Amino acid sequence: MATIIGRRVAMAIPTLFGVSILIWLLLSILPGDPLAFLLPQDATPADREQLSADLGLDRPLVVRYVSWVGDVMTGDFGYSPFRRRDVSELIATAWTNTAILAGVSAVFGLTIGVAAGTLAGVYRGSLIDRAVTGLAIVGLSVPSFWIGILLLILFSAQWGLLPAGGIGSLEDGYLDYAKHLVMPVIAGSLITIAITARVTRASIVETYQLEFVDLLRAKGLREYQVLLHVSKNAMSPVLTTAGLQIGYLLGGSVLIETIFSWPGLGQLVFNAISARDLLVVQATTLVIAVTFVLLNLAVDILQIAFDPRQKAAG
Amino acid sequence: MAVTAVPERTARQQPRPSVGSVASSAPAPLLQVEGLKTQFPTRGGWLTAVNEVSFELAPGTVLGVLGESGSGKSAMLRTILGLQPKSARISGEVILEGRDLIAMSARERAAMRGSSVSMVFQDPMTALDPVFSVEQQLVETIRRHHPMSGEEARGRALELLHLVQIPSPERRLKAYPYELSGGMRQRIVIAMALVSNPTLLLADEPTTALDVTVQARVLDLFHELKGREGMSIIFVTHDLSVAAEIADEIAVMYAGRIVEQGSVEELVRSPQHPYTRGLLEANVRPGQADRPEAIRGAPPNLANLPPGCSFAPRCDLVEDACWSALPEPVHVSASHFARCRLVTASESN
Repeated sequence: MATIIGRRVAMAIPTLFGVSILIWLLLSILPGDPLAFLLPQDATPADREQLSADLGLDRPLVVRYVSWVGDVMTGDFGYSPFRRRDVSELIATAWTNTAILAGVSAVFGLTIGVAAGTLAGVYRGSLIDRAVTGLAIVGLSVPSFWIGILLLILFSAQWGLLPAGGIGSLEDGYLDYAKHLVMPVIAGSLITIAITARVTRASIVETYQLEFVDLLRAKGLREYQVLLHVSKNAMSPVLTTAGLQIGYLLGGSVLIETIFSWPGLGQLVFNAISARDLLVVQATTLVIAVTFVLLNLAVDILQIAFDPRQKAAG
Repeated sequence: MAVTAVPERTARQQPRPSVGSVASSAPAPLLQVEGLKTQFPTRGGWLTAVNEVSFELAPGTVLGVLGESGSGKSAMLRTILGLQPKSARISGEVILEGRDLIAMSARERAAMRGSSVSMVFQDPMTALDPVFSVEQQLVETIRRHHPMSGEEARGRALELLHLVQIPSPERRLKAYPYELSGGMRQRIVIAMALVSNPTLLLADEPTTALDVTVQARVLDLFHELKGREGMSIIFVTHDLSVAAEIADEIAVMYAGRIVEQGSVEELVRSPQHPYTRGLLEANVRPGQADRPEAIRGAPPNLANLPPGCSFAPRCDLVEDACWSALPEPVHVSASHFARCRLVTASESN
């Protein structure tokens, strides 16, 4: 078991390097002059060269990449001249805010999605099944920003029950903090609920048709015992989707974070792109990509834990 | 394999004996199937997989059910065990130890499954849950029917693996199904079926999916189980030689009906139904030079059965009357009947 996990971790390292090269190249090669925004209108070519040298932009690509990776490894993402802060500091704050929102949304969305999908799968063809399947399609088709705005209008503007936006502060108590979370969590996890419910239902239905289920019943097992067997077998696609969903949530939704003024990664990267704050864009993209790779790694390891056959497959 | 006609068989000869009439002359049969019918909804109407099947099984006997694919033999076993989907339409009686399995609630039936009646499936590669260990799957079965500690259940699981002759059972107990060979898996499926010493074991082509050499050894195991006190077996197979080897009695199924039934000796020596004869001729005999004779045509559409004999379209001896009326069972001896109008009844009957 330990060696297989070790192998999976080792396989993730080249992926991470590939990701870092891609992100770095993309922004180094893209058209658009990062200096243009930093230089005053009346800058001379000499000023420009001076700034370019100061920022190390005159060095060859490879050297710049190696020094960038070295800096990143030590947690140095550079300095944002626009925000007048270290990029690592900006990222840390935004990532924490997004992680809180994503964590709550993931727990909320995956729990409801798995529960609804399981119910629909077990009672296939019933009213519950049709309701879940129908609502899942609605959840997938309705844009999250529309739901977000609808929630804002109803709960904040109309009834004044919930704060319209911003992140709560723990100093105002947990209740206040939680109130700030309600609407962004609901709006943001709608798609997670819908996708998870659909995948869970499909996997449960498919697993119930396998032959071993007949044997479980032939042994006289009770239906809830049969469901336990079926659930464990149906787990694999649900885990994979859950990993992807958590990945998306952790990437920070630009729309949700903008609507609810949630100071997370989505908002950070959106503002950075508008300002051509390349270092922030680069760092945020890298953090999101690394999160994805690590999540997939975690999902892989969980899959091995749930399905002994994967141990043999390596 | 000496087979003797059991006296209570006479009771079966009446077209539809009531439960009471059986008890009068002979010891009560272990299993009594009466007018069992299983239908599935299809776009073309109701498909009749099991059609008015009636038979009895005495304690300790083995009934071989012979037929080609789609003849309803597996569907019959599943119906007896209550494994058919809810959409299926089921009628008739399956009386095991005096209780009707069809009439009882799903909950009661689940409690009977694995204790009084259990089943061995055709394909051991897909019959076991791939993500649970052999031990987990055996222990849960044992504890479902016998309240005992996990430790005791593990001991019992080990005993069962010994019983089905699995080499180094301690190690196999910890294994997952994918780590075991087909023959080994089938032994484990059999061990699971034996957890509660069932009085009735249903075996659905248990050797078909196995290699020939493994087949022979699993069949040997069934021979040994046969000797176990009180256990009756319904052994479904499409292989006449397997049926002849393991069974006391053979029922030949065609298009959902039992078309001929008799002791192994009677059936092999003097097959009465043209279909049974066809099956015998389709079998390769030792020293046979020419190709075995296949039965021409294909089984009928079970959603749209002809009014007369289901075998008429494939029968070489077909007469006009065969097409119009369903042939009644004709007894050639007390223990041997065939559903064919060409068969002449024995004088003693």
